[in-house]
Amino acid sequence: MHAMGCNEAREWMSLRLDGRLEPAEEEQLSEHLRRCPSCALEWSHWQELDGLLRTAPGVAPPEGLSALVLERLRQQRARQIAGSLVVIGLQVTGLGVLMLGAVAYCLHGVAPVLSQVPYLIPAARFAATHLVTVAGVLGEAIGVLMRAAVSRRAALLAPAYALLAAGVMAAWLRVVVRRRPAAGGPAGA
Amino acid sequence: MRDERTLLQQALMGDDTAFAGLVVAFQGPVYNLCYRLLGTPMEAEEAAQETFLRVYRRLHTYDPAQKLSSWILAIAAHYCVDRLRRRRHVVGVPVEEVLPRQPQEEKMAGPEERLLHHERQREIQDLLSHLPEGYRTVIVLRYWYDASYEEMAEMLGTTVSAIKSRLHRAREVLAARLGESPARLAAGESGRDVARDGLQ
Ligand SMILES: [Zn+2]
Repeated sequence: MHAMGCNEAREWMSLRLDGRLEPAEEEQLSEHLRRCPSCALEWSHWQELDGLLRTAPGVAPPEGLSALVLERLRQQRARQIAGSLVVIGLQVTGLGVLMLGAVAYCLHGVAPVLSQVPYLIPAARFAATHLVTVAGVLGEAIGVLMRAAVSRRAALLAPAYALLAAGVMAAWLRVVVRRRPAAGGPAGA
Repeated sequence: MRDERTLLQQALMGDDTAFAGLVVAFQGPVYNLCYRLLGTPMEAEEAAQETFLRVYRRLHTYDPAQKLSSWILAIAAHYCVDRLRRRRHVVGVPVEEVLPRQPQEEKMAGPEERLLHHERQREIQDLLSHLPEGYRTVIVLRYWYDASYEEMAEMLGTTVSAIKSRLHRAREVLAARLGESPARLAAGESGRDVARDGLQ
């Protein structure tokens, strides 16, 4: 244990008053105080001060503090309620404005269409009658083609045409294959 | 008389009377802490009210593992320290100007007791009012709130070693002032006796 200097002793006094010294340090400080009258005197002043502060008489809080606190609490609550009512009011108004806007926009978009309804009706009637005519023409054409395909003359002519075509093709193949053995390569044998 | 925990439970469920009971139970230490930190009865009353409004708002965050009084005093201490900081930065009112003026004293029994009480009250007020604000804050937090070094460091935004040396310096100044003072008080006498015992 080294001999303690006065500076260190004074720093430790404060720690001792706050209970922040280890037992060994306590002993070291006590040892110094036994030997050093000036530090001992200082320590007595510090203890006096500490005692004075620890036992300081309390001052009485003002009368009716709790009532005042409750009053302020109620005011705050009232303000909060008023605040949330305002917020809800603003939200409802905002929503209403948005919805009105949307409805107005829709009506605005639909209006020209609605105004054309009287003209659309004859146009639609016209389209409907002509659609029937067009469909009739198309159906007629398909019917003619079908009838042509299944007619007796066509039934005889088609196989005859097919036989003729096959004969021409065979003759043509014979002539071409015979004539071009060299050009055709080994396949010509 | 309902105990504090019960009052707290009931206050949490919206019982205002129970909360008023809590205010009554803790207004003494809260007001004293605010008064010692801020220095005037008017500011102390405002701060005490604000403290309890904050307590009310934070009731649901209270951890029952903590002592209720410490929790409430911590709210008061934080509020007052913030207030001191704002006062310094924004208003810049010198400490001396806001300090004196005594609040009403606690009710005393006899005239002798009242005299002693008055004398000691004056002495302490005198001691604290002459202390620079930084020193006064640590002394008050230490003696009226029983704050640890760590807590003070956190609250004042500084280090534990800075708090140690600030407390040390503050005590040095106060002890020197007490040594100059001719009036010796009861607590002081007993303090000296203890010191003398330690010497023998
Ligand atoms: Zn010494």
